[in-house]
Amino acid sequence: MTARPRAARGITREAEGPRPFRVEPGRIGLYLFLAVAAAFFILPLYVMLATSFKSLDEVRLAQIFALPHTLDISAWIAAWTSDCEPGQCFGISAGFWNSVKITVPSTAISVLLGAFVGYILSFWRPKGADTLFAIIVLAGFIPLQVFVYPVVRAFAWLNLYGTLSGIVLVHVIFSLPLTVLLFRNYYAAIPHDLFQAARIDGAGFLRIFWSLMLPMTGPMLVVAGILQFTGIWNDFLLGLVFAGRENLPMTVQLNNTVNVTFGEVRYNVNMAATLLTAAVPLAAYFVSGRWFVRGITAGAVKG
Amino acid sequence: MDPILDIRNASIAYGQTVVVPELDLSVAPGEFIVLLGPSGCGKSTLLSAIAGLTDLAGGQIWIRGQNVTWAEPKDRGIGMVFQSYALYPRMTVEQNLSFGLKVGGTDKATIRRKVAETAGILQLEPLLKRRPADLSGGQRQRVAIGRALVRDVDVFLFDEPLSNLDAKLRGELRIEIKRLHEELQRTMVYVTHDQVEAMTLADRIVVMKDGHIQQVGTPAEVYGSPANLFVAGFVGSPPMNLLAGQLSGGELALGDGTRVTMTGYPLPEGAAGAAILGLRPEQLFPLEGALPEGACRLDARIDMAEELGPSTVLWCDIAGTRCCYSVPGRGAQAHGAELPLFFYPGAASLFDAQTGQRL
Ligand SMILES: Nc1ncnc2c1ncn2[C@@H]1O[C@H](COP(=O)(O)OP(=O)(O)O)[C@@H](O)[C@H]1O
Ligand SMILES: [Mg+2]
Repeated sequence: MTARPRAARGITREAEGPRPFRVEPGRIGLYLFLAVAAAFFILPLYVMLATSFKSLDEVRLAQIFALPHTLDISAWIAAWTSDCEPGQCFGISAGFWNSVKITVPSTAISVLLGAFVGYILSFWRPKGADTLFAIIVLAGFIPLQVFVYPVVRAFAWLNLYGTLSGIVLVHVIFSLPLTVLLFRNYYAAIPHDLFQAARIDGAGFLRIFWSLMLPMTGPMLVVAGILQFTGIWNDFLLGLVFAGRENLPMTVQLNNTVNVTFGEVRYNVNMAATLLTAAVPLAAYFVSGRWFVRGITAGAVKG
Repeated sequence: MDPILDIRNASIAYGQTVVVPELDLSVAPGEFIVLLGPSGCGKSTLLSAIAGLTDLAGGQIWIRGQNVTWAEPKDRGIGMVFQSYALYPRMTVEQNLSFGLKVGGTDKATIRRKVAETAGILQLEPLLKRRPADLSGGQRQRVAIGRALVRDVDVFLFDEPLSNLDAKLRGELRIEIKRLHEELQRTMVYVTHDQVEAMTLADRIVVMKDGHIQQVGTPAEVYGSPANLFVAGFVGSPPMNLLAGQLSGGELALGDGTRVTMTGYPLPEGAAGAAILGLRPEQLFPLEGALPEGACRLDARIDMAEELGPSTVLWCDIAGTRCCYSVPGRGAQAHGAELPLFFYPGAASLFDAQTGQRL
């Protein structure tokens, strides 16, 4: 006689149709943890939002969790426009446009260049390609600060220091390890046959990249684009060092706004300025979140 | 006639590993050549060297009387069909077909005409606006063939084009490729490890092993007179029966003492020593009555029968070796039954046991 299988949960004669819902302790614990974690991130955001809509009088009440009595947007206006006090302007709108001027070209160039280098490393495999790739990726692990002084000297010598092209170039250079890594691995998953078929069809180096590979790169372009965009937008150090007085990005100006050393601390304006600065990368995630997830999880080619 | 494709003393290596050493092969215009061999024997490597996708380590490749050894793939007058189809996923079927022409700078009207022509030949018209992802495997492969066809090349290269398809489609597309060859009379070099494809498609089969050519011949030659034991074992299903024995004075003594006289077999002068007798399953036949003239007799004990429908394969023991023979229709024999089997030595194969070469 064969041994009867030990009675396991869920094995009954009556079982039929969908499994009945059962509340398990593990589940409850999990949801509890998720709720706490969510609150941890949402509470500061709530406080900031609430404070930014309060008048300065209301802020002085120090009830930070209270909702504002009225929606007062004067703090937002003050944060955005050049709100000048004797000797200093704190508005961050100028910084916003500087950030746009820095981030858009830096993102576009670094993503396209990363795709191009990744394409070369994956498909044309020049001699030493693997070594070069290893060096590029390893360079990405070296702390940025190490490079600041030498690059400053080099840029000063090239008359690029403190210019818009200078800061864009710096961002492109420091982005390459990440973008090359992303695109090389993305292209490595594309069958080599495809590349060879294009060569037999007579397509050359640039043609294969432009007509064949780049159109297949959509998901990774989105992922790399968002990573680069938010990374460059949020940058503080490089902007402070390389952008020059005329081109200071929003993050640097936010710091100037928040860290006033005289007068009363205007919490509502600070909160509004901070939210304004964070709004752009946040919007980027919201708008492209779906593609972002798809790009991270998708395989390279279908069919 | 001058060969359209001439491979002269070509060797191909990946780094230090020589995959194809010193190979010579000439292909006549319009010929359908099949490179047949087990996986990993270097068929694809040879094909991609012909295409110009892999560099030669030595030797030359000539196409249509021109030395193309150093030429770019596009300048060789070849088209290639890959096992993975390798269709451009972001392009429609029409764009896939026209890509090569567009890159080559052909004018729009000509492109349109050629694409329409090719689509007509391969019945692709209803699919022209679709993407590869929306096609079935067989349709994809037809598009891949079309992409080579549309470019008016001298030599078509196929790398296992049917092995990703299910058995039924494979059979259909095989016939379609054969029909295409008969219609176009274009030179085709076709790589496969499937002997049925090789036998049915080829004008000549090139059997390869470890980068070496084992035999070049028509399907009938390769099947009927294999050049060595490898070809004998690789081509044919069920495989050729191989019986070891000692050859002396035109007579072969098998392991169990049976003696067969190889009358009618073109034995070389003074051949003697350990030899192997090769018999195709259908070369062995049972017979009632008198011994036919020139036939030899072997004693078999039946082991089991496989009914295939149109024929039956009977597995048996002959001189201590497991053998099989086939009879048309249903011809099951009782397990353990003993009966005589006959064959004509003139049609059999005989190999040197040491070298494995045909005697
Ligand atoms: N890119 C490569 N690098 C190194 N070795 C390879 C490469 N491609 C194939 N090989 C080796 O070359 C041999 C022949 O491969 P291939 O031509 O693909 O065989 P087949 O097509 O007959 O199955 C195999 O042993 C394989 O491992
Ligand atoms: Mg292969």
